[in-house]
Amino acid sequence: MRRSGLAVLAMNAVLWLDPPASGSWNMAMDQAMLEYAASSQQVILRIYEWSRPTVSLGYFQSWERFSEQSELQSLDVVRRMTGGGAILHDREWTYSLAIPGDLERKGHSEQLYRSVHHAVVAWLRELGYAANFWEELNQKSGTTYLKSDPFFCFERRTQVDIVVGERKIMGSAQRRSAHGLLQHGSLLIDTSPATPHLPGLLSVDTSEKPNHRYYFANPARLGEVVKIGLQLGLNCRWTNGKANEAIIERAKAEAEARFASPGWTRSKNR
Amino acid sequence: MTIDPKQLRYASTHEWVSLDSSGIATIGISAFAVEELTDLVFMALPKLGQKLVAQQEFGEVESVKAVSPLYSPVSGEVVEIHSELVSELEILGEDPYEKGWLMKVKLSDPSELDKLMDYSAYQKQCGEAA
Amino acid sequence: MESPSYRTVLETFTKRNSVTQSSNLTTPLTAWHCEHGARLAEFAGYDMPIQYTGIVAEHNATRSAVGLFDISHMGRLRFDGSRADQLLDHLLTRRVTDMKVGQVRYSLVCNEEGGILDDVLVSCLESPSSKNYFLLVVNASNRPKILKWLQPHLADFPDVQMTDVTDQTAMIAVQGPRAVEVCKPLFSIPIDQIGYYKSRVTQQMGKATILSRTGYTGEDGFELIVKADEAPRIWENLMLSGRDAGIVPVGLGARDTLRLEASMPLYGHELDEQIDPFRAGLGFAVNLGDRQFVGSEALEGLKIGKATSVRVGLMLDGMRAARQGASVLDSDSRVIGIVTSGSHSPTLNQPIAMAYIEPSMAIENLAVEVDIRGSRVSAKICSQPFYRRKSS
Repeated sequence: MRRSGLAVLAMNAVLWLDPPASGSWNMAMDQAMLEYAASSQQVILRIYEWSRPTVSLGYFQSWERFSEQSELQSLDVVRRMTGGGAILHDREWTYSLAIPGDLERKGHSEQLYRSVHHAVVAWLRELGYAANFWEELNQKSGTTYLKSDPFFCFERRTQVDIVVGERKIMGSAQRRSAHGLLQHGSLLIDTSPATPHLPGLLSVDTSEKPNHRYYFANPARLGEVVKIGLQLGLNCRWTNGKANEAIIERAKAEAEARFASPGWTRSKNR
Repeated sequence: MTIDPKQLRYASTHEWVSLDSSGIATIGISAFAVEELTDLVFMALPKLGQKLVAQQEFGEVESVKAVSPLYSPVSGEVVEIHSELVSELEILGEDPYEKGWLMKVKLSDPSELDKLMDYSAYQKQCGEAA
Repeated sequence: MESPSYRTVLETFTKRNSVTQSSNLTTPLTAWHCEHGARLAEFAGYDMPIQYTGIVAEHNATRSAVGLFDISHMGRLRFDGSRADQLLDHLLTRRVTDMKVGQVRYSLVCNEEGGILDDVLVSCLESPSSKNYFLLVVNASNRPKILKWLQPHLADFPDVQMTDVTDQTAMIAVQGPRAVEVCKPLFSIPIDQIGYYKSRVTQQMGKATILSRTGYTGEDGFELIVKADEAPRIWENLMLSGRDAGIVPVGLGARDTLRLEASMPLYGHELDEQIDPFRAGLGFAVNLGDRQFVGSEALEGLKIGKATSVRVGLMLDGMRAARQGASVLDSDSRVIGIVTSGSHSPTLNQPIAMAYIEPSMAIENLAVEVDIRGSRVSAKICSQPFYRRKSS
């Protein structure tokens, strides 16, 4: 296997812990964050939740597929810049990661997934969950993973997805652009009433874990774990920060022009 | 038409160009890029007649997870699209050159080809990235 | 790929797990308080945070910015049924039958003699399925007493269903001049349009929340009632949302100094079964005349009768605070009253107190003395409240 060239000189990296916001705002802020990461040449990791249960569609997913999901029609919906399947952001933590510039134009995406997911797997195991990369299970069971495209991200499986038992509880998706790389990831904490067939972490493993509902109330914990994971591939100097006025203005413009507009969300063929 | 990878010109962003005698360039993405992207699921190509500018985005490709832009190695007008490819992306994995070409472009500035890499220079770049 | 150390990430988790288990009750947020260095103490049977960084800092943050309070120990009783309003109207000193959905009222619960059993907030709410119901928030220390006292009255109203939802819910107060700004992004309804003493059943991150524009600090703000399971998450979200505004968690210590500055009575101090609403200066919470309720007859008499004492404020010289039980004396060293609550006032930077004194001595600016553990401290009677927020 080719090794990634991601280990570069020590970069400045900032963690933004953001309060819950609407879907269009979250997507717009991620885009503004990516541009800022590029212009300021630093890695930015953003951790957030969604102020209302919201469906995010993968960049290429068709609007028709969403329209078929009758149980989702009353919810907010946005379209991500990143690929993959739809996610219902309800009892869920999201991270977005911006890596500036063209560290690489193509390829090696898997390395970043692996770094982050590796840390999450180890963390969940420490907490007593039977967490694995899907590929480990996949090899053992001898089944081929499904490359077809179920509507939901958490119904799909790729090699580096994180499963607890056989249930997927975390996946990530990427977007490469002239500004650099945007990686989205989603950790499903608990089952949403709208998607009872997709159990979250707290429902997958119901063995005695008395304090976990409390423990999994604070998404900042994911930030610390992702930071550890990134240290595997990127040599970063971390500080805490937040979006400045200029970035917020940029996000407002992005939300208006794109992410809050039905034209963007409902486009059929991306 | 036979396409020999050793005779192609390459962009640093992994697109290849083959020029025929009538000034029409066939454009595709390299075997290295296809392998690195792994498991392509979607591709968006430009429309017929669309004007491309060298080094600007002309399309996008989604592999199992990453959405990546495709950059045009040359400037010109799209005169043919390999539309079957979009529904059968496996072709790219089998043969990204002969069968897996993306589109044909009427060049507006053939001298741009000189700025692209030859096979050995491109191989060197891929070796460094690997 | 070598395995990194997760100890840093897990440290707080294990540290919290090692907190010795007391036999006291906990709230859904007790674990958070432990993890964030709160000093816990028993209050009404619960392990409650008394302070995090310090009472004065928490007090000042609430006055100048915004404070976050876990008040889950407060009792929450829900009344369903078409005659719920009549039952409550029979039990409360405040009229209930004319309450509209979204209204909140401060009321007292009195015994037949007119003595105060508890002071409560009653809300008229509408469930997501469009049914009206009432919510009674009672003092934590009085919950067992009130539950017992309710039983015979509930038997008289068999069609009213009373549910004690205290354990399955949590209650969080967000108080301070920036409370609206902090809460606003977390709700899809325009919460700034919820008026003072108004309440809404709404959603926070998709989860049912009762949001009331009420408080116990003298500041603007909200009190939230949420499902116990969701409380830690909502708490974390409020901390995040309020980060730029300077939000701090506030313990019961500062809650007491805040309510004292605002001259809000506390059961067991200003209120008990030996005190009637008029003595306590809470006549506004008694609707007499055309209605009958438990204690109404006695209260009719007490209203026109001569009060034996009235509640006043005291400002003390020096820095020592008078505590509950300290005697108030006139210039001739005659005992004219007794202190019910006293503390240093962080806002005024001097000791303040509330006391019951003889009505004839309740004269603003009258010089008196307070006996603080044997030494006499001069004080003067002052108008209440000690602190009034600037209207926005």
